[in-house]
Amino acid sequence: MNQLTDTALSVGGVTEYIKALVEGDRFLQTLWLTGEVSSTGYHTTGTFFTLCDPDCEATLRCVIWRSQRAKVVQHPQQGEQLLVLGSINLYAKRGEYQMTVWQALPGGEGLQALRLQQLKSRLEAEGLFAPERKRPLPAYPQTLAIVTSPKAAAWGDMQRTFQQRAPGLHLLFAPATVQGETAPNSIVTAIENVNRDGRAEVIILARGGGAVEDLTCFNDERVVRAIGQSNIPIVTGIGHQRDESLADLVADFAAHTPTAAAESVTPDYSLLKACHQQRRSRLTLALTQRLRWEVEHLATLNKRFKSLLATAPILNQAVAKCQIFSQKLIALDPQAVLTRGYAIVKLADGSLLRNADNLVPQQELTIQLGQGKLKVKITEILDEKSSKI
Amino acid sequence: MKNPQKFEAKIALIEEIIKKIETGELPLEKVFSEYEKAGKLLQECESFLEQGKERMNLVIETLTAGETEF
Repeated sequence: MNQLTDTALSVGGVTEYIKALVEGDRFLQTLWLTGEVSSTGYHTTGTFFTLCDPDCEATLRCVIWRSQRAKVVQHPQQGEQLLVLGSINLYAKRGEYQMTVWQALPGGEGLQALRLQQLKSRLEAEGLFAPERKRPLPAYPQTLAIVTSPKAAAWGDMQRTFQQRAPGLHLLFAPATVQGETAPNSIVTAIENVNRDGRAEVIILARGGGAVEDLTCFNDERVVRAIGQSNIPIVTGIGHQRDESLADLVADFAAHTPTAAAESVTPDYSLLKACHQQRRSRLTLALTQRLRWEVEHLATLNKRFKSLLATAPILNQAVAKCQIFSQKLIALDPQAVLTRGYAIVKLADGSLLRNADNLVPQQELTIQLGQGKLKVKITEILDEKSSKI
Repeated sequence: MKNPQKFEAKIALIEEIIKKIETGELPLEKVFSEYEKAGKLLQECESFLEQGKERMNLVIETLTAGETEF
């Protein structure tokens, strides 16, 4: 009995011991902890709350001191998961231990949402979601690659759509896991393989609608970067109900279901036909219009040409001149003069007589009338000089 | 004097000749020879258009014939 009382420690001593143990432990002094907030109380000195395990087999009392309260990201909400950073302290007087919390973040789903938001902001800042980065999709692709799970309904749906809209399309199937832990790497590998193969003109990354948690791989940084780095344009067809995934944001085009994705890369047959017919009509119209114009133009030229004969001034002038000359000539024709009553008088030697100089009575002359020729003798010279008729 | 092969060039020449005769800047012999030339060119243009029309009608027929296969 004496041995026992000699070796027994004091309360203070034991408390000191435990305190040293706890507060000297590096692990306990910078501790990340997650649990559910089972109770919370706001006081002027600080916020006091309790964290417990889901089955509440263990609880831990916590405090966020006043000075630290403003810097805390997520304040403890009853019933919510919380992720805290802090240290364990021992309170000798009360014989209790308590966690001093320096920082608290939303746990569980909230934490995931926060992480996603941070990733999104970071990638956005890098410019990965910029509209300028998005490449136009080829209008009539011949070869397509599909990245999806071979077991999923998505593949079947897309095949049917392709069959309907573009039967001759060459499809390359790149199978990948689209949910679970292995999904991100599987998708990245598939995208890289398709790029290396090089034949595809467009890639469709698809997954049929599932629970939101199942789509986390499409928010994975590795997948986003793989889509961003792909040389081949990528269309996402990820069925879901909530906001767009990061994969949708970085893709060249985000259709919201696998079927819509398949439709986006194949031309609408009826639209094609309509365009073709329109083109043909335009061609025919253009041809006929041009020809008609040329024919009319040529007809106009023809008309002008034919009327040239009537209107060309130089021709008319020349013709008029010729006519005048012709008339003059007619007037000047000696025969015409004679018929007007004039006569040609010649001497015996045949020379023309113009005046009465050197003439003597009895001299013989010949007279050519308009009709008839006479031989005459001068009886008298009446006047030598007068020219009056 | 150049001998144009293209339709448009011929048309342009016809216009030019007509204008020259109308304005009376040519000596008379030229008027006659250019008039002849223009007449010949008009003839050539007319037959070219006729040929073109026939070829086009053929094409349109082929196009519209193919429509039923669509």
